[in-house]
Amino acid sequence: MNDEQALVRQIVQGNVRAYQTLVERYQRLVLHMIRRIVQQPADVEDVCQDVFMKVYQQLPTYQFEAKLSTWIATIAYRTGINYVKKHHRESFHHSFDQLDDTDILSQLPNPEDVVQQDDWHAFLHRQIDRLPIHYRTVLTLYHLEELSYEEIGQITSMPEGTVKNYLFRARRLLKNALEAHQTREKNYE
Amino acid sequence: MNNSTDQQLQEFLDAQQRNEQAQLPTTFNQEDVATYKRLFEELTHEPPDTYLSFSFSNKVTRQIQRQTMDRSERNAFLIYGMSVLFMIFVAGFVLINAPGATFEKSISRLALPVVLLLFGLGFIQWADYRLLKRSRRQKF
Repeated sequence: MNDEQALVRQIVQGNVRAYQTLVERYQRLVLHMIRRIVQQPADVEDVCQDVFMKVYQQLPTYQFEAKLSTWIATIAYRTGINYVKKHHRESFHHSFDQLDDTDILSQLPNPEDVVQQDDWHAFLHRQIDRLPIHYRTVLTLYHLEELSYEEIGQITSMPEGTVKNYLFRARRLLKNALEAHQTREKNYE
Repeated sequence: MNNSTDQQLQEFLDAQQRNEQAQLPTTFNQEDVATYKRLFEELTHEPPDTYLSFSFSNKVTRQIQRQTMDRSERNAFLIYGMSVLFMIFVAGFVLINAPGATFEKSISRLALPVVLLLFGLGFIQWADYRLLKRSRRQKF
């Protein structure tokens, strides 16, 4: 029995302190995902808390078929998506309807952003926040959490091909946005 | 830059970033390479304003403990209530079926204890729901 399995068994037997260890171990993963999906900083912590409450309730059904991190990320993804559907229905549909690159390209970057932002780091993160939810999630899981295409597919229930495609399109959009920002900066100088 | 070249460049940078053996061909536009490198580097960093409160894990475990306590309290009240009802039923049955007892006589002997019992139960319920504050989103 490995460390993770032992931890899960302790939690299922009612050891709440063991659960605190699990929360500390996976809170960054959940936070990164929820931050990218939910976006409103004021709501992020509440949604993260909901995720860990669900993880605790569903832990007795966890059969070690997938890695624990993947299983927790799946719950985080579903909770985040449900939250956006429930509280920001408009922006959710907006996000999904805009999967055509030409539409996104016309909005990325926003001309106001280019004028406002001098710092390209901040500019880039604003552009990421403007991407559709699936693009943002895939980018976060691949680059920040360093998960494989297969794991991202398991979490989001998307085929691997779709994951690769979203990743490629998201990065190309961001690269174009960065180029536009750089051009603007050069002209300004 | 066309799609296939763009994709090839992304794949090369992916492989490089994940420590796989990959040589970047010099045929790519160097400006594109530089922009993509900046992008890939920045994507590995946390977005701004990404933090949880210091005691987040503590907060989660406290909420779980509170929920567990609530559930066991509810169960205890349920068992208590069922036991009292069962007790009343048994007492009534014994009194009614006692030798020489009539229905009216038994009711009159039962009435006061039952009223007191129900009053006591009601008082416990009232005290529990009105005097004990429970909140799912209690602040610490």
